[in-house]
Amino acid sequence: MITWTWVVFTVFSSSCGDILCAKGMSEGAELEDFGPKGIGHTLRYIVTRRLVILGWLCYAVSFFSLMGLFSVAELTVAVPATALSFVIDTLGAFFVLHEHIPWKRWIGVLCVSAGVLLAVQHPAAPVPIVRPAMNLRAGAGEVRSLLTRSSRADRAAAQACEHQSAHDHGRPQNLYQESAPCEILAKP
Amino acid sequence: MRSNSSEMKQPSPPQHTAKTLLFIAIAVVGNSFGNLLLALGMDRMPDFAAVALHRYLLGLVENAALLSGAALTAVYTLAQVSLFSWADLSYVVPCIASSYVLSTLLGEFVLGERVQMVRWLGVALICFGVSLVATTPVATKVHGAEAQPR
Repeated sequence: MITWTWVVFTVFSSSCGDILCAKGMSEGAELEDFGPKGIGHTLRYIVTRRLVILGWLCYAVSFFSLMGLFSVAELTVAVPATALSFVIDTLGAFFVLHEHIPWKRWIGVLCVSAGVLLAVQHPAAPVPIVRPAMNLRAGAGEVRSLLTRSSRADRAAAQACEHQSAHDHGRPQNLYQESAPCEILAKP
Repeated sequence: MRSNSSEMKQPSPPQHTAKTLLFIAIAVVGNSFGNLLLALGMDRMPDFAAVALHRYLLGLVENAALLSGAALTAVYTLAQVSLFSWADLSYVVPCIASSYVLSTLLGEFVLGERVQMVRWLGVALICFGVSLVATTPVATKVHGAEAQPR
């Protein structure tokens, strides 16, 4: 329930940011002069237009709520959930900005959302790097955290650490009871 | 180019489309390479809890990859916001999703990640979706100062 509250908050604040920025920018002059004067004028417009500033604030709220989402949900849940923002943005463009959206664009948006869902739910397998840790307490916390996650790659990394830990001490260890003298960095 | 008599603008003039494609390309490249550089930059940073705050902040401003990543992210954001001044939100946002495709390619060929088949399927779906959106007009309503006098 808490996870979905964060998801809804993140997606809606992000979409509100997009809609407000689009509304604010669509009321101003289009960027046609690519010289310093034209770019300066556009930048001045961006930082002074009230709707655009509100849009930036929504982006900031979205960023912090995404951090909140990460604290209660796994990456494999949190990131795909944000793919919903493509659909919300399109609905906002239709109902709030009164854009005429051809059927091809609707299908395209649904394909992009589905594609993002597939692409980010199956990230490339990280290579676990096991090395001696300076902070034993932190190492154990890291291992516990990894063992409680459901990601296959994380579990493999945790098992690698367990193996390394047992090898270093010459005896098997129960990672839930003792500090594990290693830390894991899941690198891409 | 702008018509007050009709809400629908179709088809988009060629130079308008070219400008849109240029800005979308800038946004996509800025977003993908920005994220890549930010990830590489943060990878070189020490553990936040392990060092003093001022040393951590000094590390941030001395980190070239991180600064370049932040600069590219700023370029991406400004390009996207500029696009809104003449293009539809429902056109810009799905097209910029092409950055997922570029990020996957960067992961496979630059970082040497093993990208799974399902992810390639997702990338193919994104490409198909973006190509569908790209065939629609850039703007379907009146944009700019003529739409609403400031």
